[in-house]
Parts: sequence; C-alpha cells; structure tokens
Amino acid sequence: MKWKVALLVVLAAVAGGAYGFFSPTQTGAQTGYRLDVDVTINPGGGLMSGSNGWLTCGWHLECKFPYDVSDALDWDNVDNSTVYWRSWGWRSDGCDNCQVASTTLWVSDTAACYRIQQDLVDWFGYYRGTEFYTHTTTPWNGYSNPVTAGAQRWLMSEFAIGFSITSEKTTDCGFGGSHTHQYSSGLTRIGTYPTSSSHHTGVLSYPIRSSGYWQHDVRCFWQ
Amino acid sequence: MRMRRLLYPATAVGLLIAVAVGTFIMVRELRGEDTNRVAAAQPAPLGQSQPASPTPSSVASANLPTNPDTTKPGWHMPYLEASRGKPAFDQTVNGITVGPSAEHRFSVTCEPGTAHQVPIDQVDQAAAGPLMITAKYQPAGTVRFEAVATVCQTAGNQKAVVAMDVGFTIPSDPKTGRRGGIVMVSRWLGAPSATVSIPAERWASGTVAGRQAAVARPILANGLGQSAVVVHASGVVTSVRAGWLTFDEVQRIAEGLF
Repeated sequence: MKWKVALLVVLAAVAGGAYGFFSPTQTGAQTGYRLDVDVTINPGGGLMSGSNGWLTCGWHLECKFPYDVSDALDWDNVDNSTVYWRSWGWRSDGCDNCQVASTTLWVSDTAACYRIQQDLVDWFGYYRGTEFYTHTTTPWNGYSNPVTAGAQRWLMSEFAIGFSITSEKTTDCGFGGSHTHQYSSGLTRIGTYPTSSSHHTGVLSYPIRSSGYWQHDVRCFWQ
Repeated sequence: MRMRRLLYPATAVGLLIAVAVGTFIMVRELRGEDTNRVAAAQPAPLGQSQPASPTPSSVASANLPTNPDTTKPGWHMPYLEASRGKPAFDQTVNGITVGPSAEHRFSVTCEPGTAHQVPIDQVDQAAAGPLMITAKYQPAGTVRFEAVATVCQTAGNQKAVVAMDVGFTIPSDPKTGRRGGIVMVSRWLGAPSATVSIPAERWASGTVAGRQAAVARPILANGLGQSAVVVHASGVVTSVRAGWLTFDEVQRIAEGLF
C-alpha cells in the first residue's frame, strides 16, 4: 500500500514538473511556438456624458478648412481634466492577465504645441509604435506601465497619462479650447470614426472605453 | 461513517494535486520566466494623484547590469524605472539650453490666428529655406509618418514658414534583432533652446556635421529609452529626438540633415 502512495506522489511531481517545463511561456523562443498579440488603443479623452467621449473632429491633420484627412481625432475635454491611456489586449496563448507590452510616457512638445507621447514597446523590448496626445501635458515624464492582455479574450489597461491644457504655448498651435488631438506613428486605423470631410464640427458621442472602439491597432507575434 | 469514507480519498487527491502544482511552480521558478513577478516589481498603473518627487538613482546604483539578458521578458522595465528617478533640469550644453522647461521660441512673430499646419509637400522649397528637412540618411525600412510645416502671416502680411516637424519610425524585426524605434525632427528659426525631458546626467557636448551640438545618449548602448541631438546654426534650431535607437544611428540621422 505504502509503495502505491509513494508512486502516486512521484507521478504527480513528475507530471507537474513536466507541464511546468514543456508548457508554453512568454519567452516565445521555443521551436514551433508562436504567440500572437493584438493591442488596440482607444481614445484617451474625457468622459463627457456617462461613459461616452465626444468626438469633435474626424480623421484630420488640422481641424481647419480644407480639412486634410490624416491620422488624428479630436476628443473633447474640460480644462485640466485627465487624459488616459486606454487599450484592450488579446494574446493567443493561455496566459490570462499577462503583460504583452509596456508604454513609456514622454513629454514631446512641438515647437508650437504641448504634446505627450506613449511609446509602445513589446515585452521583449522591441519598439511597436507611438501614440501622441497634443494639447496635453504631464508631470509623469518617463513613467512606464505594463500593458496586459487576456488569454484569447480582450482585457483592458487604463491609466492616467496627463492633463488637458487650458491655453497653448503659442497662438500658432490651432488650439481653440480643451481637447486631445490624438494620433499615432502611422498605426492601423479603425473605420468606426468618420473622416474630417464628413465630420469636422459639432459633437459625435462614442463609448470610448469599450472594446471595439479603438483608434489605433498594434499586432505582433513572438516565436 | 459515509463522510469519512469520502474524506480520505478526497484528502489524498488534494495532496497529490498540491504536489503537482508545487512542482510546476518550482520548475517555472527555476526557469526564471514568471512574467507576473517581473511586473509586480514595477509601479502600479498611474492614478490621478501626483507622483512622488523624483529621487536620484542610476543604473549603477540600482545594481543593474549594463548588458542585460534581452531574451528575458520585461528585461527593460527596471532600467526605465531607474532612469525615471533621475533628475531632469534645464542646463546649457555647448551653448544650447536643453531641459524640460527650456523653451522653443520662434524668432518670427505671426499675426494672431494666422498660423496653421500644412503637409510639407505643399510648401515651396524656396519659402521653407533652411527649415526644409531632408533626411539624407535613414535606417533600412524607415517609414515617414508625419511631415508638417507650420506657416503663418507675419506683421508685414508676408507668408512665412515658422517650423517644420517630420516623424519617422523604424519597424522592429525580432528575427534579425533589430529593435526599431522612432525619430522626430523639428526645425525652427529661434534662439538656441529646446524642450527635451531627458535626465540631466545623460547630456554632453557633441558635434554634428561640423556644428556644435548638445547630445543626450540613451539609457543603454542598445538604444533603450530616449536620446536627442540639438544643433543651433545660423539662427536655425534642429532638434532630433529619438526613442529605442542606438546613439550611433541617431548621430548618423542627425548628420544626414545637414
């Protein structure tokens, strides 16, 4: 009887150890193993009505006639209110609520405007893209935060990154009231939001914290 | 009696599961790949409150190796955290003022409300003059994502180009080990001063295409973090801010702008 118990204990230890050794981890360095990751970046503007943010100008370079269509969306804010990083992360393996990337926050003022940027670097330190927030400033230059993902499900990461400003550095910035002019380093855009030629005045309301209402998308894989 | 008969096997199964789970955790610990533990050492996501005042620290004082194992997930986080704690303040390097509150100051005054941004392609080369940004060197695979000029009307009702901003990304490629990165180049007519928030100790004097420069190196030689090159020549400020690129690449990009 005793040797049967001992055998069962040994078998349990071997099974646990073998699973720990051979099951997928985040290194992505194992032969034949591939981990796909998707991070969608939502608007970072304030919630103006319930859980909705207000879009005040569709895809544009500058919200001014003749409205060049470009990578930015304008999100309404009240003076000095918080601007957020919001993302939804998905990963193809079984690691739930696990890190897939990090953001690092920099003050990146242009010659005329206040601006901050969030550089997205994957969990192995490879650069994956940048999200810019103009008319925004921050006391948290240099802060890094992990971005998490769900195991084949979408999981949200949200944290404060700065504040909307009340007046610009110079009159040459095309400000016109508190809002976040959010754009990226050429990341994939979603079709949910209108172009500036179809919307550049007034307000359109969107649930900007919700999955699926992203502005930019980063997809990568490790193998 | 019946409960007892059920209790013994249940306890035995529970103990076996505990042994299996314990061994699993021990093996993962030995492999050193508990990514959640890496994250636990980092600051929690930012709240709405102001962060504590930065306290000086450095890679050396944090006992971090200068050549980390970059195959470990999250290897970069302790370095970024150590860098964040270092003081950044305005200083004059090689005659150029750089720092978090050093101002970008135009030497051209625009009439209020006349300034606006246009794609660089729409700006006449002659009108842009020395502000035109042409990158003669770009790393392989470079993509331009932003190229805008700020134009306005001056007091004499003259149309003037005030500044140029061009952004490039270099895509990463883990297969080749290329880490990728971002470069933002700005040019404007103004005093030798530029807003760049990089810890003060990383700045030094440099030279770019024979011109005096203030340069800030990245946190590690592999390009981790931010770096910058600022040049002031003939009344024109050229600011090159980069992320995640080696300083050699940033220097070559800066040289190619002249």
